[in-house]
Amino acid sequence: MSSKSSETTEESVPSIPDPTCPLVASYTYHSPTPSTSGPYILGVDEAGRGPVLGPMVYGVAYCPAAYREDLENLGFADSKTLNSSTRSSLLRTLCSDPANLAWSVRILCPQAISSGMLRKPPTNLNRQAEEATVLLIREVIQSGIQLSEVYVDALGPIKTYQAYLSSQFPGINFTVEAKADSKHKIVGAASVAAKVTRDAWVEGWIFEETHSNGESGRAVPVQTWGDELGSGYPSDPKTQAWIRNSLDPTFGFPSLVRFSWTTIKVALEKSGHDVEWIDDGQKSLVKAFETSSGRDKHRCIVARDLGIKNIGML
Amino acid sequence: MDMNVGVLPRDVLDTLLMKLDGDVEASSLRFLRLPHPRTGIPSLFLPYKSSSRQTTTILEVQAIVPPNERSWIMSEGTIIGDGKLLLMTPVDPAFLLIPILRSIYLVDGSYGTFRPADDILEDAMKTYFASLGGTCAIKGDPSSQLSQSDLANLCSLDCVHTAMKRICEVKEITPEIIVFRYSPECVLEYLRGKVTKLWKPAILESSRTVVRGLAKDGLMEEGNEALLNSGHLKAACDLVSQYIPQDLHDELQAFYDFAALNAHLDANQKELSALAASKMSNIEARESGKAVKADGKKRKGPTKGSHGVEKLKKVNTKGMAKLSSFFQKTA
Repeated sequence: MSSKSSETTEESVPSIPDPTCPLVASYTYHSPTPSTSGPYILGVDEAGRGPVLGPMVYGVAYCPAAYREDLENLGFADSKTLNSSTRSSLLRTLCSDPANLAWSVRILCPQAISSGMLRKPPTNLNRQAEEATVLLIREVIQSGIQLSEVYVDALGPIKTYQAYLSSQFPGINFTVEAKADSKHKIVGAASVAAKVTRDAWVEGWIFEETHSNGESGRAVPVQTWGDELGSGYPSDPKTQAWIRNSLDPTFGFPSLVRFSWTTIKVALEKSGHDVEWIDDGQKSLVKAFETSSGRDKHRCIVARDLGIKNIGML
Repeated sequence: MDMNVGVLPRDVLDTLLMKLDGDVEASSLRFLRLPHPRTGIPSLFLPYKSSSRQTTTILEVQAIVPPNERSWIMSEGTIIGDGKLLLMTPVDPAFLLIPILRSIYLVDGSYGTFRPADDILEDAMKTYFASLGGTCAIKGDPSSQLSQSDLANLCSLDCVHTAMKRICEVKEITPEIIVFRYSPECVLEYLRGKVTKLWKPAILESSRTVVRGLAKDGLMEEGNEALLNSGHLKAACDLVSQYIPQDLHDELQAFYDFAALNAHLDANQKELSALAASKMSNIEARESGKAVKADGKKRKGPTKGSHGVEKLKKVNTKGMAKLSSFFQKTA
């Protein structure tokens, strides 16, 4: 993957404060709070839900309800129908009228996604998506914006989600719909914010595993990974090839990879070292019942308990 | 070259580093295989002379080996497959000396005569080696073979000579001639001194293992203070037992009064057995109960066939081909 400077001659993406630092934790970015008085309408969309690599980004875009007409002419549409340079230019548009237009994104790093899904009990992807959505809306409201209408791309059952969101934010009119990004321009705008942010992270991905240690200034000498990630979707042959070539039998994959994805679990099962979970085993229990012999005979309780033994050679 | 991870005294580490730098004096650092006082099986020890003190200290070399496998992942990225942690700690040379000196006493049963240190040590070494040496203490483990030269090395150490007076009767014939005689009474008194030093709640309860053991026996409960005191004493003896032969441990324990404690522990044991027995009989009752039920149903009488089966029985089969006509005898 090309470095950020050669890929974009455009300005850097505002939602990525320092492109030279690896993504190690989830975070939120808010563009400056618009000054025009409300009420506001807000759209929610996401990018990167399906891929096995990289972050999932939830985006919101908002503008005064009165601004709705102006919004129609800005060129927002379903971001999947636009190409990368169009999207970049639309992000600039989104930043061009800060008195009226604003956007925020919540970046969920791949490890946060995986740990949530692998936790016991698990926090599934839908739940993580809901939490990100609620967080963004709440923070927009907390910045002083009064919201009257919110349009959300459907996650699962529409009625349930709509009811849930309404209960979290009474007084706001929620519309949860499929293909909301093509029906409502404000959702299209949110979609651009999310997609451009995600693409920038993935294209400019810095592996924290090889990132030089700031303290000692010494880079840890480990393997590097290939550039050709493909689209990041598990069905993409390029992505599949990257996964195959990047597997380390002991450590698995770099933090770019979502370990909770079935593709990855299967790959680790097949080509990673066999794992013996010692919590499940009974080795120490069995050991406790064995009669000791040799150098271990008649050890005091502390030596037995702590596994302290005499040895004949190093 | 094998890499090991260990915990050892700083000045030993310094000496080891000096050795690596080619310091001639430091190169006298050599591991010895000496019979461990508790098991008699040759195990690693490391005598060293620290630069600060003029006497030699003997380190016992142990390894912490937990039942589940572990590996070391070093900061430079290398991995040491064997996850044992070496532990080198000072050991009282008297412990090492006891089995060796005792061997003469055990052979002829008499206390023997008073003799100079070198004499008695040489004789003891020979006797001890004769009683054990030659074969491997552990089948198939060559490191368990006793080395006469290592034993001789031990007996030449200054700290071992100093230890003699802790476990022997000493007579000063002249200021230059001091004679020794191995004394089992001295040994027991010396060991009791160690027990007394350890018999302090502050010391014993600093070990989670010891505390757990005491709690498991119900000694930490209110009202059991006297028993807890006894429990502490037993724990102190147990710690000392790590470094003495089993029979000496028995003699040491016999000196103290553990009657009340043993009665308490026996009572605990009986209670546990009774509980286990009652649980077993509950389980057995449940299981045999099931068998009784099944038999009971059968004893109610011949089982009635199902409705369909009963209907079929009433059908008039006149004119119908016999079932056997559909089958041919196999060739």
